[in-house]
Amino acid sequence: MSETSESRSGRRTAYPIAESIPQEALDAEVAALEALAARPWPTRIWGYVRLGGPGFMGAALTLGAGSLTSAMLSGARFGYKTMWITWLFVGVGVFMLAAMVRFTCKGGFRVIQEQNRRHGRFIGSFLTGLIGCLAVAMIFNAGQVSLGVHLLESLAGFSGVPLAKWVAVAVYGGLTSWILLSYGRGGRRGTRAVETVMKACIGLMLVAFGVSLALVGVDWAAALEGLFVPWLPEGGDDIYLVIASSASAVGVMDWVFLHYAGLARGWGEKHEALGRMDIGMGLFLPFVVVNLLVVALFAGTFYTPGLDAPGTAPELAAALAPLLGARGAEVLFYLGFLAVPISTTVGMSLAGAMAAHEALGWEPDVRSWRWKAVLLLPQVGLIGAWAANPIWLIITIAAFLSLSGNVVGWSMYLLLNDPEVMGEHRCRSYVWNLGILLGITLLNAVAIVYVMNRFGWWF
Amino acid sequence: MIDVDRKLGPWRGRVWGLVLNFVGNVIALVGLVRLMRGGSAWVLAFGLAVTLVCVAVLAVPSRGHD
Repeated sequence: MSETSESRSGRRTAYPIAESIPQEALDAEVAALEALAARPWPTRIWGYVRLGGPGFMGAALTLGAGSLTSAMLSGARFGYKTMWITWLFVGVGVFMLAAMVRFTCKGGFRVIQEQNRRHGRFIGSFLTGLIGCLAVAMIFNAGQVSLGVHLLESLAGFSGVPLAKWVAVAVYGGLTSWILLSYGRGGRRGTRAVETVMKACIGLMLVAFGVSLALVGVDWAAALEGLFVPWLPEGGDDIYLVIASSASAVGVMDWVFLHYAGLARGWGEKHEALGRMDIGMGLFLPFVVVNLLVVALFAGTFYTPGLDAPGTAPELAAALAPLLGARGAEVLFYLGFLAVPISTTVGMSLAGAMAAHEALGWEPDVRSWRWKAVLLLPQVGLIGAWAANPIWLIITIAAFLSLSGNVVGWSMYLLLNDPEVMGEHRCRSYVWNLGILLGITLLNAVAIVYVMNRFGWWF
Repeated sequence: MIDVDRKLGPWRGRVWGLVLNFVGNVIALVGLVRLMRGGSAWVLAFGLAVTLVCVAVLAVPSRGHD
């Protein structure tokens, strides 16, 4: 069991990144939360948005090249028909995220350590920490870099000054590394600064894609049907695209990151309400809205039954830009799109570093060379800028990862329902458990459909 | 009422329930494919029934000690 400490902010689990946060700051935050609880809802929601952070970081992490490419291709190939997948999968995933917030605030442990203790190192350190987080960060960052560098080159092209690829790689690598190395520095200041950057990235995506959609228009009848009437393609590569859309919703990395990012903020017993609001306002809403905006944007512009749309994210973006009309709208679209890989590189690298330290039994010290080395390990993906079209590789790996996501989900469900682990804070709600089990069943289904399609048994 | 927190062999009932739920999910999806290819709906119905029962039983919170 990890160490815990008592204070006005309640019992909290010791986590080295939070150690430099003064106790008075955490107590003041709890006092602010208690004051907010008595305020009217609009004020309360704004207060939670201001105090939140790990949820926004989770959304920024999840809204990456993989999920946005899946959304763009889904819109271009299937029109509005797959819109139901996003809200359903993320909505069901919210119950598991609430479990992670419970572990953070009231569990008294660090989750990978507890998985190791209760379910073995294969499920804890290996499947959750090393495969579900570190490997994902390393493999997927190549796709983020590839997309980010392409977007930087395109943005430079608008000014008429071509940008050499190595310069774009240096800018992307330098910017993301600088943000990453700020995390946890200077007490809470560094952590909050990174959270603010991530919130700004989400805001930029919402504005950019929202304006673009307003310019091209929406077929509301088709969009409403796509939101609420389930539809699946008939197999082959198309089903991989749907699996990727589902798998890129909320998964192992999001669960683990929310838990450790909360610990890094010093969240204790009295932060659970903030954590839950952060899931709703910071993670669920931004993720769903940005995804739906992108699907609708490409459904409205490129979906024509029987005709092939461009096959990659850069091709789709390049084809869309002229349809937006004004040059300013094109630039805004590309800036919003650039926020996608940048925020994901930052979020994934942090999640990978936190999880790798837990998996290998290391204490995270943001000043140590080991932390910095592991944190920047995914930047090997910078060579992805020279690799040819890794988008389908990303999608295939996303689908493959869905095979282990359900087993980690089983482990989390068992921890939440284990009286020896959670004591009086174990799950006592039938509905909460039901939501988690529906999420696990969806993850099971994703894994099973992936295998069936792989062997040609799916339609 | 089934006590899913009782140990049955190497694992608690909840673990066996998760495994059974997974088997039910496989049966349901195989049944869905058979149905779409013109087969009967029995396999799908059986898989769905196993899934629903497992989820309903496993959702019951633990009554363990405080």
